[in-house]
Amino acid sequence: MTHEMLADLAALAPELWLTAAIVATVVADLFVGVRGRALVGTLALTGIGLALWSLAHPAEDMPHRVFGLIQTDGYARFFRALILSGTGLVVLQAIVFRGIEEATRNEFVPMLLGTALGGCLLVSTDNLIMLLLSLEMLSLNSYLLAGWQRRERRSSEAALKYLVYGALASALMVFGFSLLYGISGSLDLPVIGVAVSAAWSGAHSTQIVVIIATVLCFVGFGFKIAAFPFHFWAPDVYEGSPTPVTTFLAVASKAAGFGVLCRFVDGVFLGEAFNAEWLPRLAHVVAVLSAVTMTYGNVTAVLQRNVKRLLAYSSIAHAGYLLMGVAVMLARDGGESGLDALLFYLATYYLGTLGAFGCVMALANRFGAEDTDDLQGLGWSAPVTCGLLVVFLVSLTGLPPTAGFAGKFMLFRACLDGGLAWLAVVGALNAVVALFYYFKIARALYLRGDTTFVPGLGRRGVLPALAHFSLLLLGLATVYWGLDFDALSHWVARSLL
Amino acid sequence: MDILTLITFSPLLAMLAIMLVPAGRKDTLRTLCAVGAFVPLLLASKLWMDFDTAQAGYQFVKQVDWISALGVQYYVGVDGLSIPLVWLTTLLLFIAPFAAWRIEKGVKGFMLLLMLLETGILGVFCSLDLFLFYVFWEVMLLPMYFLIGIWGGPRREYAAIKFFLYTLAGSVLMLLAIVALYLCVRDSVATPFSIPMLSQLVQDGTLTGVNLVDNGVLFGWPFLKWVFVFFFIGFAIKVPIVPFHTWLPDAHVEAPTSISMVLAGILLKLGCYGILRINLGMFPAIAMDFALVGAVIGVVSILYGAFVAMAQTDFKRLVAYSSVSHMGYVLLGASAFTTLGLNGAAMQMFTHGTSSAMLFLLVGVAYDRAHHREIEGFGGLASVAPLYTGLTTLGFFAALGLPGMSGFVSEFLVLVGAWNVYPVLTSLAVIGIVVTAGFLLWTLQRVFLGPLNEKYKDFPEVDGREVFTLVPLGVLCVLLGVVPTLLLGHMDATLEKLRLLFA
Repeated sequence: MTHEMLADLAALAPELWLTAAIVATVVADLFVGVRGRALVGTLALTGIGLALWSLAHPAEDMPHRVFGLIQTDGYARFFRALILSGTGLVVLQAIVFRGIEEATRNEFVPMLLGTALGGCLLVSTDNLIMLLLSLEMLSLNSYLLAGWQRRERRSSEAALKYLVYGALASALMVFGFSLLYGISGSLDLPVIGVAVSAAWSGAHSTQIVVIIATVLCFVGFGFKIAAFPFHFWAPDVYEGSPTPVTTFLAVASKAAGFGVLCRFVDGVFLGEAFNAEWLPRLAHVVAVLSAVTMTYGNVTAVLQRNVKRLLAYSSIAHAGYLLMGVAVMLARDGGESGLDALLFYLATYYLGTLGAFGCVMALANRFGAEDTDDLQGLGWSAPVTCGLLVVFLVSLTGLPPTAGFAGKFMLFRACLDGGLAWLAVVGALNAVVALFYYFKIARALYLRGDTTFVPGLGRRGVLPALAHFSLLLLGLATVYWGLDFDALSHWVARSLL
Repeated sequence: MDILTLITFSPLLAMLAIMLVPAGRKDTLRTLCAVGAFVPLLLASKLWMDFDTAQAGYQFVKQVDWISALGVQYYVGVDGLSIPLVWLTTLLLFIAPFAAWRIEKGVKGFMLLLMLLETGILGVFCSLDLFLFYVFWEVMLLPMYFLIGIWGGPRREYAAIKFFLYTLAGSVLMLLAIVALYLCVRDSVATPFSIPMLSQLVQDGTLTGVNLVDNGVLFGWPFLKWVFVFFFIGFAIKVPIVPFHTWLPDAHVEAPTSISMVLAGILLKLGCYGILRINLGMFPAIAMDFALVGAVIGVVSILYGAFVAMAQTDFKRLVAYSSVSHMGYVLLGASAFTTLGLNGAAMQMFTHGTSSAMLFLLVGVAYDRAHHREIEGFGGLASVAPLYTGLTTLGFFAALGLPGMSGFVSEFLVLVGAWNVYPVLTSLAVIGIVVTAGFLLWTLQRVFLGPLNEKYKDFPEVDGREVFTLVPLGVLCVLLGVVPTLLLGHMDATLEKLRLLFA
C-alpha cells in the first residue's frame, strides 16, 4: 500500500471504527445471543467512542479529499460528530429502555450503526454518485428500522409508508441529478455549479432545465429533512417506529439531510460564477417554504395527544427553522452567516430533541406512559427526569437560559441581517405557538394528576445508570450553552464550508 | 463580589439550598425560603442607604464580558428609577413565603420556584445590557407559569398558559427589536447591547438603521419607530394596558395569594419600568411622537379598569381590575414628560406595589376563612373581626388615594403633571379616581358593614402571621403618604435627567 492510500484510510478512521463496531456486534451476537445485550451495547458504544475520538484528533497530514470522493473538511467533521454522538445516545437508550423487542435487540444495534455510517458518508461527499449511494444506505436501513416491531401494525405501516414515499423522493432526485449531469457533464458539485450558472445565462430552454433539476433535487432533500410539503411520512413514521428509531430519525437522519442540503446549495448556487440575480428569488422561495413548514408543523403539533407524534410535528417545525438558515445562505453572498446560524441551531436542536426523547423513553420505561394523558402527575414521582424534560422543552421552545434560545437568537440575527425581516417575525411568533404545545407536556407532568409518589419500575446496572447520566449531561449542556454561546460558536466557526 | 450581583443571585443560592432539603420537611423548607429571601432584603436596604441621591446616573455598576462573540456583557447597575423597585421586590418576596405558609402541596417546589422568580425579577431591574435584560425577563416566566399552574385556583391551567403565551408573544417581538438594534451598531461599538451606550447613540442620531435597511425606512416608517413599537408592545402586555390586559384578571384571580401579591406588586411594574427605561430613556424623540397615544391609552386603562372593577362580584377580580386602572396613571404620567408627571408615574409604581399587594393579602385572608370570594356573600364582618376590618380599610384608603396615604401623593402628582399637557384627558382621568373610590367604599360597605351574616359569626380574626405580612405594607402606605420625599428623594435626580431628554 502506498503512503497516500494509508493517509486516505487514516482520514476515514471514524468510518472504519464504525465498520469495526458493526462487525464486532454481529459476531458478538452470534456467540452470546439474546443474553449478551450489555456486551453488544458496550461494543457498539466503544466503537462510536473511538470513532468520535479519531474525529477529534485528526492526523496532521490529512488529505482534503479521499479517493476523490470524500471531503474531510471541518464541515464534514461537524456533521459526522453530530451523527455519531446522536447514534451513540440512541444505542444506549435502545439497549437500556424498552421499546425494542428483546429477541431482536442485538440485531438492531449493528443496523443502527450501519445507518449512521451511511449518514457519515453522506455529509462528507460532494460527488453525486457517492451522494446517492450513501443516501440510499441511510434510507434503506431507516426503512427497516422503522418497521422493526414486526408484530405491531403501526410499525409495519410506518415502514411501508416511509419506503413508498422515500422511493418516490429518491427517484425524483435521481432524475434531477441526471439533468444536472446532462448540463454539466460532471458529477462533482463545484463543476456542476459553474455549468449551471453558465446554463442560466444561456437560452430560455436551458433555464427551465435548471429550474426543474433544482426543484427535483430539493424534493429529495426536502423529504429527508421532512420539510413541507414533503413531510407527509413523518408523523406516521415517527409515531409508528420504536422510540429509539424515532429519535434517530429526528436527529441523525435530519442532520444528515441538512448536511447534504447545505453542501449542495453551497456547491451549486454559491460558487464564484453564479448568477447573482437569480439567487434572491430562490432565497425567497426557500424562505416561504421555511415559513410554511414551521407554521404547519407548529399548528398541527398543537392538536396532538401522543407525545411521539407531537414531537414529530415539532421536528417538522424545527426543519422550518433550519430552512431559515438556508434562505439566508441564498439571500446573501457567501452565505456565511446563514450557514453559521443553521449549524448553531442544529447543534442546539440536537441537544433538546435527544434529551426530550430520552426523557420520554425513560418515563415510558418506568411508568408505561406514551400519551400526554399518561404522563399526568409524573413530575412528582420522577422529579429529576421530568425536571430535565422541562429543561429540554424550554430549549426546544427557544427560551433563555437554554441552548435553544441561543440557536433562535442566531437565526433571527441572520434573518434580519440577510434582509428577511418578515421571516424573523414569523419565526418569532411561531415560538409562541411552540410554547403552547410543548407546555402541554409540562402541564401533564406537573399541573394535572395528584402529587403522590409512584415508584414505577426501574432497572439497575451500569448501562441504565449511564443512560440516565447522559440525560443529565444533555441537560447541563443545554443550560451551559444557553449561558455561554462562545464555546459553541467557535466550534461552528471552524466548521463553515 | 459587588452588591448588586449578591442581591440578584442570593435567592438562587437559597434555591440550591432548598433543593438539598428532603421534600417532607415542610417547616424547614418554609423557614429556609424565608431566610433566603431575607438576605436580599437586608442587602437591598443597605443599597438604599448607600445610594447617592444627588447622582442621576447608574450606581454600583458592574461590567464584565460575558459572550464575546456577540459583545454581550454582564452589565448591572441601579439608578433612581430602579432602586425603589429593587427594594420593593426584595420586600414582597420576603413576605411571600409567609403568605404561602399554609400551602401544603409540594412545598419544596413552591419555595424553589419562588426563589428562582426573585432572581429573575431582580435581574431585570438591575440589567443594563439588553441581552441580559431579556434573559432575566424570560427566566421569570417559567417559575410564574408553574406557580400559577400548580398552586392556583380551579381555572389555573388556563390562567397559567394564558399568562405565559401573552407575555411570550410580547417578548419575542422585543427580542427582534433587540437583535435589530444590535445589528445596527455591532460594527461600530464593542458592546452593542449596552443600554446606556445605545441610548447615547440613538440620541446622537448616529443610530438610524441605515446600514440595515435602505434609508432607514421600513414599510413607510422610520426603522427606529418599528423598534420602539416592538419594545412597547412587549412592555404593554406586561403592564398590562387595555386591550392587552385580558391575561391579568385570570392570572391574578387564579394564582395563590402570595403569587397574586407578587404579580400585582412587582410583575406589572416590570412593564412600566421597561417603558420608562427603554421607550422613554432610549428613544425620547420617538416617545414624543407617541406621547398622545400613550396618554390616551393610559386614560382608557384608568376608566376601563375602574368601571369593570365596579361591575365585579368576585372580591379578587375586583382588586385585579383596579390594578389595570392604577397602571393607567403610570402611562398618563409618563406621557406628560413633565417633572411632576414622571415623578408621579415612578412613585405610582411603588405605591401601587405596596397597596395592591396589601389588598391581595387581605382578599386571601377572607378566602382562607370563608373559601369563597363573593362580595355579596359576606356582610358585617366589622363586628367579629375589627382588626381585619381596620387593616382592610387602611389598604382600601391607600388604594383609592385618600390624602395622607401614599396613593394620593402619586396620583396627585400624575394629574397635576399631566394637566398642563392634556387638560381634557386629565379631567377624564379624575373620573377614574371617583369611580375607584366609589367601588372600593361600596365593597367596604358590603363586606364589613351592615348586619352580620350569620354564617360568619365565628369568623376568626387575622392571626399573627397575617398581621406580620400586612403591617410592613400598611406602614409604607402611611409613611409615604406623609413623607413622600423618603421615596422621591431617591428618584429625583434620575427623573430630572430623564425629563431633560424631552426639554
